[in-house]
Amino acid sequence: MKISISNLTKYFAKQRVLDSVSLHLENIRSLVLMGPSGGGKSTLLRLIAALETPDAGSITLNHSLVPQVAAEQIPYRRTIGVVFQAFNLFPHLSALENIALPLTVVQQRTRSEAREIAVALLKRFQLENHASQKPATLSGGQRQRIAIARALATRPSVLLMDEPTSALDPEMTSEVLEMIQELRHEGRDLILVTHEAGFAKQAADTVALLSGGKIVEYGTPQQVLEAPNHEISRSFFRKILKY
Amino acid sequence: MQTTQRHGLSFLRTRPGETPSRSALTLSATLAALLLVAFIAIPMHRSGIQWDFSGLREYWRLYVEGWKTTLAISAAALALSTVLGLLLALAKGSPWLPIQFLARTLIELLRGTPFLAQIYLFFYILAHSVHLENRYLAGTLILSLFSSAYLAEILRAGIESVSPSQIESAQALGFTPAQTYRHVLLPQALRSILPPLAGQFVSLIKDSSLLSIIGLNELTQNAKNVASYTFSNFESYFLLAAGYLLLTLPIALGTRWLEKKIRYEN
Repeated sequence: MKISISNLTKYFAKQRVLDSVSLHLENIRSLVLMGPSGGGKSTLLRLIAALETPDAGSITLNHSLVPQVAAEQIPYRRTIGVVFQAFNLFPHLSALENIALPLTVVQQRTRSEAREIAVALLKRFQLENHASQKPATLSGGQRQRIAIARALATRPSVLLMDEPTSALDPEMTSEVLEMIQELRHEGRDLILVTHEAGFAKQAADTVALLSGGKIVEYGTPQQVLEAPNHEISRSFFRKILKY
Repeated sequence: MQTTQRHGLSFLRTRPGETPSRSALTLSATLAALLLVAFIAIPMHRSGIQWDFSGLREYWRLYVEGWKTTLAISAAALALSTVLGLLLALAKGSPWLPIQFLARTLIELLRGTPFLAQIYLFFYILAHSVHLENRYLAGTLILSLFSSAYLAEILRAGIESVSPSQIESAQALGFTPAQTYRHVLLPQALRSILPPLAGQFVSLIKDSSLLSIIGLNELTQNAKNVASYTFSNFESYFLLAAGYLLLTLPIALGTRWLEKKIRYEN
C-alpha cells in the first residue's frame, strides 16, 4: 500500500485535532497508529476512511485521492473496510445477514451469492456455528470477528481498524488479534489504531506516533517502540508498558 | 438464594423469569372476566333498560354496509397515512431548513387543531377548490393527513432512538442515506415503536367515525340513522361499539404477535 498525507488539518468546533500532518509511506503492508488519547489517531483514521472531511490538506491512498465531497465519498467508502471499537454489527440481523447485507445493498449481488460469500467467510474464521445468531447472543470477541469478516466481504483494498480490541476483555482481545495477525500474514493492507504495544511490534511495518495533533515520530516498530527519539514518545511508551 | 413464602393466592402473582402455571392462567382469566361482566352487567341491570335488538333486525344491511365502508376507508387511510407520515418524518429530519420548517409547522397544525374542524375546513374549502367532490375520497385523504402527523412524530422518535453508531457503521460500508434508512434505521426503529404505532392505527379507525359529519355513510353514520328510525339508541350504539372492536382488536393482537416475532435483546 502507498499512503501520502499532506498538510492534513482537522478542527472539531474550535479545537484543532490534526495540525498540518504530513506522512509519505510506500511499499508497506501495515501501518499502526499509536499515541495518547486525544492525540488525533482516530481522527486520522476516520479521515482516511472518508468518514470525516478535512479542513485543509489531502490524503492519497494507493494513487487515488480520498474524496472530500459527499457524493464521491460514498463510492470511495465501498472500496475500503472499516472496523470500529464496538457496536459495529446491526443488532436486528443475524451474523450471516450482517455480512450479506452490504453485498446485496452496496454491490448489488443476488441474495444467494451474498449468502454463499458470507457462509464461506464465517467458515474461514471458524464462526459458522454462529451464523444464525443475533449479535446480542454473541461474545464481544465473536462480534468483533464477525465485524472484521463483514468488512472483508466486499474485498476492500485496505482494512482500517479503530481500536478494535479496546472494548474487549483480554481473552477476547487475543482471539481478535489472532485474526488480524492472520490477515497480515496473507498480505492484506491494514491501517490500525491500537494500544497493544506488543501486538504493534509483531504486526506493524510502520508505527506512527501521534500526539497533540502531530506525528511525533514514525518508523519501524523496533525504532519507535524500543528506541524512541522524542521525549513525548518515551513517556507514552513508559506509561503504556508500565503494567 | 431468595426464599419466597407462598400461600393463598400468591400463585397468581407473576415473577420475572417464571411462566405461570396453567391453573393460574385459567383462574386469573376467569376472575378478570367475572369482574368485567359485573362491571358491565350491574349498571345495565340497574338502569332498567329493556334490551331489545329485534327492532334492528330489518336494518342489518345498513350495519354491514357501514362496517364495510369503515373498513375500506380505514384500510386506505392506514396505508396512505403511513406513506405520508414517513415522508413527514423524513422531511422533519431533513438537513434542508425550509423542508424541516414546513414539516414541523404542518405537524403542529394537524396535531394542534380538532379533527372535526379539519374535516370541515379541508372538505368545504380545500377539496372544493380543487373540485374534489367525491366525499369518500376526500374523507379518506383528510383522515390520512390527520393521522400522518401523529405517525410522523412516532416514526421520528423511533428513528432517533437508534444509536448513532449504527449510522456510522452503515456509512463506513458505503450505504447511501436512503439505504441507511431502509436497511438499518427503519427496521430497528420499528421494533421500539410498534406499541405506539398500533395505538395510532386504532385511533385512526375510531377517528374515521367523525367523517360522518360530511355525510359519509360509514358505520357510525348508519348506526345513528338506525337509532333514529327505531328509537333503540342503546342497542344501536352497542352494535356500533362491537363493529369497531371487530376492526381494532385484530390490530392489537397482530401487533403483539409481530412484537414477539421480531424481538431481539439489545
